[in-house]
Amino acid sequence: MAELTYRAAVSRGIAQEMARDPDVVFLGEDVAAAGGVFKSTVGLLEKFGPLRVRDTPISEQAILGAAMGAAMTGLKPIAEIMFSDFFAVCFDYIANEFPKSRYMSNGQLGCPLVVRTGNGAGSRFGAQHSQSVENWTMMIPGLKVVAPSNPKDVIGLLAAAVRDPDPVIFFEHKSLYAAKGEVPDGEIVDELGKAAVLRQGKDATILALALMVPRALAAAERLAAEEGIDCEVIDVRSLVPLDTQTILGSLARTNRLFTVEENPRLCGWGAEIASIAADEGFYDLDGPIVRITTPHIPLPAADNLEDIALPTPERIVDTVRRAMG
Amino acid sequence: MNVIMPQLGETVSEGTIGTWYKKVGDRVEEGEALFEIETDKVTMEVTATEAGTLSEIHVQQGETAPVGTVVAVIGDGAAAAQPAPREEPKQAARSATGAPADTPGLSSTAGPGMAPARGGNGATPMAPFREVRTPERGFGPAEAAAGIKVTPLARRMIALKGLDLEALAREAKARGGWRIGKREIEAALAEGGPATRPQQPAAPLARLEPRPDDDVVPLNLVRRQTAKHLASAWQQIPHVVQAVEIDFGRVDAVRATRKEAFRQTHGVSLSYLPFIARAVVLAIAELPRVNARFDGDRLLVSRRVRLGVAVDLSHEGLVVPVVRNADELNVTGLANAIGRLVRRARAGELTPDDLSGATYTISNNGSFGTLFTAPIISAPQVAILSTDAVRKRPVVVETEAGDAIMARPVGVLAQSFDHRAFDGAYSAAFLARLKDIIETRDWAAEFA
Repeated sequence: MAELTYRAAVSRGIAQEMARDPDVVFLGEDVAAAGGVFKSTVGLLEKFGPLRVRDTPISEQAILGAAMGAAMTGLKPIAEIMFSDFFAVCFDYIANEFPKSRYMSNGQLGCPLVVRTGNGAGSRFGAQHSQSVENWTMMIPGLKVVAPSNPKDVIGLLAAAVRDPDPVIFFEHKSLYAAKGEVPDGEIVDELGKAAVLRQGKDATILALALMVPRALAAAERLAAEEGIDCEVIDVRSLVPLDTQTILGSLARTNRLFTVEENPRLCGWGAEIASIAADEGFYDLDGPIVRITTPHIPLPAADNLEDIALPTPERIVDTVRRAMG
Repeated sequence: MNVIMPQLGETVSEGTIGTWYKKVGDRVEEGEALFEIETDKVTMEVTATEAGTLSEIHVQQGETAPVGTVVAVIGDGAAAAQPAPREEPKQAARSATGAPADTPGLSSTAGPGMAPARGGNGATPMAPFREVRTPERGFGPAEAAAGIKVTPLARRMIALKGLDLEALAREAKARGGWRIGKREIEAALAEGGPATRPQQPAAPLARLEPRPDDDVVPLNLVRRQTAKHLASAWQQIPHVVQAVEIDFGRVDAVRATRKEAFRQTHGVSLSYLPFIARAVVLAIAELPRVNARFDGDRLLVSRRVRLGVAVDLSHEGLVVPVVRNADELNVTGLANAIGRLVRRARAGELTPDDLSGATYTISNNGSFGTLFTAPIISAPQVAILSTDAVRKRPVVVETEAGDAIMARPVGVLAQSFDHRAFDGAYSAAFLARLKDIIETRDWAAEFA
């Protein structure tokens, strides 16, 4: 066991997979010589050499296009898009190329790649460098989408993503890079499509993702201590495939559902889950499904404004308390 | 072609290979049984949809794999088929008795999955999108009198527990509330007030005065409801009881060798009940009228056997959960299905679906050591079977050397039947078939 930062877990996860499989390669802007702008890929160039770890030009389309070409011809690339906001620049690959190639080529051209990216706010990077865009990829058939909230999941889910034969979008959270967590020694491989129940409870189910997970947990502790409301907190972890079994199972026991989403209100990942719950889990609901999200605004660059825009533990506690009424 | 773990139910996510009927290198014809799989709902045979040679087995007997996993490969001797994920794998899932599975809601095709992983463990990831399952039934109105709203959960609880919506609405109004939710239902259940008595009796029951040496024991809701049904069944149905003595020697021989392994593998004990249930299913195939509902001038004879199994809730009441696909299960499947229902009944986890639709019922009293029981039929069914203790008794056995007295395990099965539906001769014939099946069937072959 060791205590690792989230960023150190990223490089350990990539190294684990590159050591295991010589076909795994890694490319991105400043990932090699500089070890990544967030220092999350330090040491990989030294360990695996310039053939397999490459710095690219500042061109997201070139990065993903090269990755796709490599994937189609037998390699297993990990491509980094530095800020997830930039998916918009290379969206043709993400929406039209990766997820369709296997289908449209009748299985001849697979696309076993992973796109890692720095997602989310809290680091004062402003409106165009702080977005939470999991939903931009969740909605595209043919992609798998994961977002770990802690160092151990970073390694485990990255390993699962690399080993998956389909394109996987791997959302790291920029404001979690310094977060620490216990990580066992040796190889760590997790499973896509599995959520994690981090806190068991009987009065309400709270779903959260990435940075919102520790906030939901903090809120749950306060709700239990101050309001006597015992919440079950689930780290969704994988949006595609979605672990509906765990989520609906929890709803069946608690009968109330809340989501905590860093994305802006409209069409966030929680909206889809709320729709599934209101359909399949309708007769388990004892009250409305409530989504706690960032308001539908461009994110401010000013510290104090950014802090109150995102869901905070206070806002989570307040919303749950009023909804449970 | 890849042989894929089929999805035998919409909430089934994995299956366990019970038995492989073929080995690597065996020739396989189209329609031949390849292996038997067990999921948490059902045990079924999976057959090959193409002829060929079984070239690889990836999931062995006793192993579990997620739905969609490539379980084996049938080739024409060439290398393993490359993943062709856009084909929907079409193994016909056939039941253990050979009839095609047509249970509503089950699908024999895997979801729109992607190719199997070429990774370390060879398992296929879950289908990325699982179709949403809309509930099939509703549970009463969302709004009660005076505009009182009822939450979806409360609507279900009211239906399930037979509560009186009008009384609950009156109570809510009196309190100044606007909704009936879980809290209000739980409070009403705890009080046991008017909301928990939906039907007012036509004539008020004559109340007895408790005597000084009486202890007053209130009867709980389950018991009161059961009491109503039993009284009504007893009044309406002309019950006739017939019994037959059965030599369980053959069953015992198989139980003796299999019991330990069975408990280890399945976590359920291998009692007489699944054998008797299997015999009932087989006998019903030949004498189907015992598996029917009485409807005045006609019988609704069911083509499926949905077997009700009476479960005692620690002497606090009786529930009769239903094995909905009893006619598709072998002894192992029945033991597992019954074990699961009993466990859920005792944990209070049965759903309305679990408790409805029985076409024949078994009441298992054997553990109490009784000789026989004349059970009360659960209307509108037309028959019910009681199984009682199986004990070693001295029995006359005809041998080549003449009659001998041997100690044999003997139990009495007693069937109560509705004499409006059929006559004693039919019922007796059914019992005779049951006896014959239990005493002479090759039970060991059920486990092969």
